[in-house]
Amino acid sequence: MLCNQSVGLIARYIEKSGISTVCTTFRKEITELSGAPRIISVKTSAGKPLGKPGDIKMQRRIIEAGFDLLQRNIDKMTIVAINK
Amino acid sequence: MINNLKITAALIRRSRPDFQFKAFNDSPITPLNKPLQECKLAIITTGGIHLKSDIPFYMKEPGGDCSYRTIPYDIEDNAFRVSHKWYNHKFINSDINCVFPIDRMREYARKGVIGALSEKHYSFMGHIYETGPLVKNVKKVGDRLKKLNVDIAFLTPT
Repeated sequence: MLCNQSVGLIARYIEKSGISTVCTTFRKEITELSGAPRIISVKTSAGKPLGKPGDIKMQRRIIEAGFDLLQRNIDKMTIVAINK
Repeated sequence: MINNLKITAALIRRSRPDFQFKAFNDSPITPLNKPLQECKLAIITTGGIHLKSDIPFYMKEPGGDCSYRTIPYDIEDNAFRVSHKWYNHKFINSDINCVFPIDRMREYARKGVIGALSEKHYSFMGHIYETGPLVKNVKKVGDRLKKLNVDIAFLTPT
């Protein structure tokens, strides 16, 4: 659970250092507290944030959602949910 | 979601009575100022991954070990270990990409979807109660990424 806070805080301070970030989470309500600007919320769980082992399709889906979000002009925290 | 958050915080306070989630009202934003195809990307995970040759993350640190490890871009599947006792390692031991998607990112770099993959990636052990030292170390990682001319950090929890 705490990883979802840590990942958001890391995104926040990496972003402050001048690098664009996209942050995945399986506990959106925790990660969004950090103010991380680009969040991909996924229905996965601890130990497999990008889906089951070998599920390359899901890995690509999550990563590409991140790439899409990175290319959007945002002016506030933006969260994209992947529901399956 | 507020209820979920309260429940989660209550669970954490069983072992850490003074725990509170860190909360901010603002979002720092660094816009991506060039096409994705020209960007250099690094992965940052809180999965506690490190090389077998590295010192493991210290699991007995009361506030959580806030140090980080560097992961080379050419890490092989059998070259890493996990020091993180708060999640089941069977998934990552079966496929590193479900936590640290290095093979996928190599593919995106090869296909030109992204410009390049960083020579170095970074790993933290994310079960951290005291976040002050974490922030200090994240700033160091940010400086390192800037020196590597990294444009994008892709982050995963565990």
